[in-house]
Amino acid sequence: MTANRWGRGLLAITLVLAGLGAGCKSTYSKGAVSQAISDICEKEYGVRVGVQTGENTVSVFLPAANVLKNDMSFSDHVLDKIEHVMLTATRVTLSSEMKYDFFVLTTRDSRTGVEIAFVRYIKDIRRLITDDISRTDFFQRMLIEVKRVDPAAPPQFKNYRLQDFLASQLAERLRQDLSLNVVAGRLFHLVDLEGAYVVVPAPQRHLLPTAVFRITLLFHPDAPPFETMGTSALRDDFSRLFLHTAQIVTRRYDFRAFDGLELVDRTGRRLAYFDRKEFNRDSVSTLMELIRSLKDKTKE
Amino acid sequence: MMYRRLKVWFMNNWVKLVVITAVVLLIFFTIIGLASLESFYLNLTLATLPLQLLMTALNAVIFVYLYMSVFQGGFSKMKKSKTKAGLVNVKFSDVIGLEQAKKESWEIVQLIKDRSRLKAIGGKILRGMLMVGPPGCGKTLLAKAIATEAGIPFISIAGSEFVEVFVGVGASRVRKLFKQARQLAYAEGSCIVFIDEIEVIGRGRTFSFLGGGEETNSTQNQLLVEMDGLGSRAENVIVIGATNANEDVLDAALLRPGRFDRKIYIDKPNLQEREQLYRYYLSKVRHDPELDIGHLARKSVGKSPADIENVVKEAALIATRFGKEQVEYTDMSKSIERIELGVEHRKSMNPHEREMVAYHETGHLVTLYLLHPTDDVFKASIISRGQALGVVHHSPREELFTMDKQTILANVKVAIAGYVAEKLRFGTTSTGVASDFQNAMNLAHNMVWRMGMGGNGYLGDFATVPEAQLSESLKERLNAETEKILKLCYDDTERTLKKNWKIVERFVQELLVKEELDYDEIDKIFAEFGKAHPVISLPVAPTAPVLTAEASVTGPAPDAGERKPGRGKGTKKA
Repeated sequence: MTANRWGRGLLAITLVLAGLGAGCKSTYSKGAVSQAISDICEKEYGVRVGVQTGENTVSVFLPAANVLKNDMSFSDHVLDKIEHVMLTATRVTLSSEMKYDFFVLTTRDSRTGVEIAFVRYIKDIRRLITDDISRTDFFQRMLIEVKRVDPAAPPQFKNYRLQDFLASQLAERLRQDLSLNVVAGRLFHLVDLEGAYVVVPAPQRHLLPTAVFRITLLFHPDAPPFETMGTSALRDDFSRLFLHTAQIVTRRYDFRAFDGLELVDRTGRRLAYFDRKEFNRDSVSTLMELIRSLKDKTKE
Repeated sequence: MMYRRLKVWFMNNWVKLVVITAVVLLIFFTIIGLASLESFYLNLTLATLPLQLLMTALNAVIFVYLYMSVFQGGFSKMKKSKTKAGLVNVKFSDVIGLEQAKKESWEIVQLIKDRSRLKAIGGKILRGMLMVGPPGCGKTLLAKAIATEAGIPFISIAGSEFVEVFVGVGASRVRKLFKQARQLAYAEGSCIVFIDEIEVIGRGRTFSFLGGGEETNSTQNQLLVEMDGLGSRAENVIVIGATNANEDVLDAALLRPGRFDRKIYIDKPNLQEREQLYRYYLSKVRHDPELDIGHLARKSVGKSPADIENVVKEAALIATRFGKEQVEYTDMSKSIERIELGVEHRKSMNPHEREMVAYHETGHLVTLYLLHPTDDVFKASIISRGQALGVVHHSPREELFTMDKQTILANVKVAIAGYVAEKLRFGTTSTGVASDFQNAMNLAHNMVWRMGMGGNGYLGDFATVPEAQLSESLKERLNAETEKILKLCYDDTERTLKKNWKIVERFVQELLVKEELDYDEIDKIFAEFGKAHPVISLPVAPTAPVLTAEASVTGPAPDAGERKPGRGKGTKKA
């Protein structure tokens, strides 16, 4: 190789290394995340936000007037602001030195006190950007929590854990899935459900505590006992709906730190339990097939 | 001058400069852009960079290459052959021989170096120089020496490089060549364009009655215009052409003053030059210091410098093949034979056929030795080489530039001697005589039809006259003369062989046993019969009355008493 070629090669390698080297360091240091989000929102979008960071959660509070319209949909101006703040917070959390797990955007209607929290798992955001998951899947993974608070009360900060996030997501998905099945709701008198990740202490000292996803089924006050609703097969299929959804959720996050899925009623009485073996077994039917089966059996 | 060089360099490389600048700026702004990104997006971009670079490179290979090859020159693009004088590095001292040519070239070099003196007188530097000569005589080397000595750039191109399938490409290449030459001349003061095999584009132009012409016409026209056309050319571009063909093959417009002003004839080396060449090429290989270079030079009459180089190269290979430490005389000898006669390949012949070949070759050998005035026999062989079943290798003792009548007659006799020998011995002949008859017929025909050597007194070159303009009776008479020459040569050869039949038989026996006889062995056998180094006299100017027709065809008979010049080992009586 001539000296010219060596020189050119060296120059090319230097440029490439310089470029690569520029990307190694994180843009935002540990303590600079809150300030960065506030500054960018104010400078680039003219939006004032409050930011709080915890161990693994970044929480952004966006106060706004008339968050919801009369039909309970978001106002246009609030939607824009939410979009800007979400984008800013995403940029900063992804490029920060501190590896956060959750990002929460809370907006509160200053007039009515309706508070809506959007909870996102940051890895889901990364996977969306790299086209690892679809947009539909991504929106399904986002938690939206709605509650009513005193408009003047200071915003509450909460440090999320993955297991709690998954339990809430599971509950939300079940609500959506079961809303497809009017029959299931009518036959089983199900009004609502809640999800939680519970660690049950071991009955004896030498045993390990059990971690379960607990779905609390909220039946109609006038509903008969669960054991008398429909046939045994029907109840079994109904319960399998919950198992199916829980399998999807836990597999999507590759979450293994649990021992089973528990269905309980309002009083805490166990209605059904699926251990890890059930989880590991492949679902023999899709959700639609289960729902169809339920429909058929209901007709019977 | 520095400014001019920079200007020319910029003119030739501005596209590259722009591309490089653009690339550097792109990289620079890319780095700045990347640096302004947040780290997550930067890492994302860098992660996809290799794949993007690969796709870009693929695009570049396909599209940019196509663009460069089609639009940046296309079919008329030529390979770069520009050379700086320093890189050529061939001096006049490296050119062996060619003293006259070097002298003329030296004058040109002086004129190139010191143009001011010439301009002060009001003279113009010559535009072109044509070197004419056989192949391998040093035309290209001399052109390189001129460029090196003058210290100017040298562009070398062959005439065939201008010829392409598509019309107009040749002219386009000529334009590009001269444009490049003018740029170099502008930067360096002068430039030499060396066109080898110029007869490819320089031969006489043809014009069809339909108005068109050959494609090479347009190429040549462009060359003529570039050398001395409309518009004055301030830059000194000197064109040196080289050709093996005769001058009259080239177009007259190319040869006129103002284009190829000077013609230098590069001939084959003489004896002294051959010695110098052998010394030069042998100095590059390990050789026996006792090698008789003079003998080698005498043995290489008519060889060009390229031939001599080839001989030395082949000798080195032969020496290596036999595991020798140095090249010796035998290797040189074998090399010359191998090159001139070809590689041996023994065929298995039946004894009768082998004997016939031996008689055939002996006929040539004896006739040559006893009757030829200028040539010596160096080897006789019945080992097949190439197409021939046997060979008698002979060459002139010294450079001769013409052939007199006696020599041509001797050549005819030698040619038909093989046939005569076979006829005398076997009463029949073989197909082996076909090429000999062709040779003999050619010589006899040319003697009568072209050289006025017939006995009937007809003078002139009748071959140039269209056949339709010659009367039948004239043609008959000329052909009859040709036939007469052949007949008389046959009689003379037959007489000679019959007279020396014992020598013939002796040689046949030797050839059948040894298969090959070289000069010394041949001489020795002739000496046994008292016939070594016969004196063959040249014809003298007639003081006596005009010779008879018969004598004028055959020439005076060989006479042992007369002395003759030119025999390699000095004049000796038989």
